[in-house]
Amino acid sequence: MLDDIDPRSPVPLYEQIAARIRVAVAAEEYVAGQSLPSVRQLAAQLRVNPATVVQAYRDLEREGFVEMRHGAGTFVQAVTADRRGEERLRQARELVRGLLEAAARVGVTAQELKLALAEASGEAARE
Amino acid sequence: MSNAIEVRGLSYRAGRSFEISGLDLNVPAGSIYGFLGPNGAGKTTTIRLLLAMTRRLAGEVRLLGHDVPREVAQALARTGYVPERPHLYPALTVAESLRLHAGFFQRWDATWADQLQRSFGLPGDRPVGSLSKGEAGKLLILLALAQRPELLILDEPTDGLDPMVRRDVLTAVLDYVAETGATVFISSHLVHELERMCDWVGVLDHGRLVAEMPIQSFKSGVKRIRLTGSPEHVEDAPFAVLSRMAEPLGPGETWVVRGWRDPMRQYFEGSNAAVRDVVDLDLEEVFVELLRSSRQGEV
Amino acid sequence: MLKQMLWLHWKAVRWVMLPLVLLCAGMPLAAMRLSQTTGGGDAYDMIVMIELWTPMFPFLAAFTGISMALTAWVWDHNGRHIYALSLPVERWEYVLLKMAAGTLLLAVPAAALWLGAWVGSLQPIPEGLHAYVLSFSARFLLAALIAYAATFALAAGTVRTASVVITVLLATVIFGSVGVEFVNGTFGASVPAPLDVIKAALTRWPGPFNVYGGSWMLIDV
Repeated sequence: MLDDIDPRSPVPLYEQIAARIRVAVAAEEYVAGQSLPSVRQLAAQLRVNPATVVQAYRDLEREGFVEMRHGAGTFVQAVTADRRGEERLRQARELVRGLLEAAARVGVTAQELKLALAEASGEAARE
Repeated sequence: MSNAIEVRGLSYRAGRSFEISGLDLNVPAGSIYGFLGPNGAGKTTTIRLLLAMTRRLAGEVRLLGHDVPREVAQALARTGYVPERPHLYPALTVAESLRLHAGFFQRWDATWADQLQRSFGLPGDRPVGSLSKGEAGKLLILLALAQRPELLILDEPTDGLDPMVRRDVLTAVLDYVAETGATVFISSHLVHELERMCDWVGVLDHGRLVAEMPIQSFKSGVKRIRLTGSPEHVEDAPFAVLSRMAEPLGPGETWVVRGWRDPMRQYFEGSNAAVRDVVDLDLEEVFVELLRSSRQGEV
Repeated sequence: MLKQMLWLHWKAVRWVMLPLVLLCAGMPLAAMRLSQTTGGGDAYDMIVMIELWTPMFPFLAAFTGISMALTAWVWDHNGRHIYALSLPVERWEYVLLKMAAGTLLLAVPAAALWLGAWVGSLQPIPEGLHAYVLSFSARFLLAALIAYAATFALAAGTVRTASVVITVLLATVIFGSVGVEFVNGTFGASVPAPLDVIKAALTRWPGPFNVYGGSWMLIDV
């Protein structure tokens, strides 16, 4: 699930990792009680400094998404539906902001975007 | 001890053209420090000077708190070293090399050495001289890790290795760091590779340290700015201009700047150029721009 | 660490060891047997025959010491000493350990020599003559050790240092000899030639090579 992170992005690596996990928890891809990959595993998989993973997990723990149990691993916490909704909304805003920036770069207006979005959603609904 | 490696005023000369003068290095304990630089910058020489394999002209070197070369043997007992080229005796077999090495290091972990040997797929009875580049690379990292060092000094450990072996080597290192919190000093000209794992970078060019800072600072301040026009004056800009280039298609310029923050767009108001785009650079691009501007004496 | 060094030194000199051992065992044995057969039981003839062999043994000792010392350092030289320098041992400690290992290993060709001489001495020797097997072997061991130590010191340094030392030595001897001859011829003086001076200084007591100048007679009165 944790596909590749982007070292090019100005967002620090630990924040990228934490964000992915937040989204996963919000979308219920990770259920409460499930254990996340160990620091060693994830660091090796993503080829990042283990300290980066530790920082991501700590941030998530502070926000209440996970719990780090010494010796046992890191476990997903139960998150309320409200909280999940909040997180999804935040994610949506991020996506839209990125989309608008990219559109501005090529000269596409917000109106044209809305049109394209409506078309795409319409197609999706029909499928 | 806050710095695993501390260098002050290191000086060295070789021949007429190569010189290292007044080099300072600080490698924080527990960090993964990427020592970057183009080929010929002096990375290998610096590492040899750190380990007292070459005699320096002046300066101080401390490895894990030990003064080098006075206490170099004690420092080496806690340091794992992977050289640029295999330094083992080619006539010995893999198993014999391991046994020889183990005899010199008190903290040798024979069980783990075995494990690594198996997972790296290194046959014990092959002479070291007959190993392929990838196998030799894996053996070198094996020897350095099985010593259970507090500091790893890796000189281009993955140069010339295929991607699979590179991953094996780097994964083994990251795994070890996760377990022990050891410090890693890794030199490379393959910037992409180090981008993900380093938290500190030091850039060496022509024997001079051009930059040394946490990797976030290194990347985040440097941006490529696309402008719609060509501003005349550049004085009192709140950022440092590393380079300016005209756009290949149509009007405008592309600037590479350091220390950029978003509110600085205002700087361009009133000039004949507006900011069209702000692009993030990856470590390699930052590295190239930094070198280019430092060579021109702008930084 | 001595154990490791001993094993390493052994592995490095293995291939030289076999011919050395054969040579060291064979030569005294051959010397004894051949001088007995041709001597035909006469003491005087035997001494004469043995004397023909005698000059070879100091060379054998020197050869043994030198070849052991050179082979000891070949592997390190090929790798430019980087491996040794990466070990947690002081430089002088490493050199000392290697030298100690080599010294122990010299016991092997020395023992082979002793064995050859001893087997040779089993045959009856003419009246009035004795076989000095032990002192002969001891002298050999000492001479080989000295050659080993001298070469070892030279081989431990860089190739450049060794070349410089050898060049200086040769230059001194060659140009010195020419110069001395010129001076002697022109001024009728008798300045001794450098080669003789060096030889005298080294081989006469307390020169280090004194042992080479002593008696290498395996059989004597």
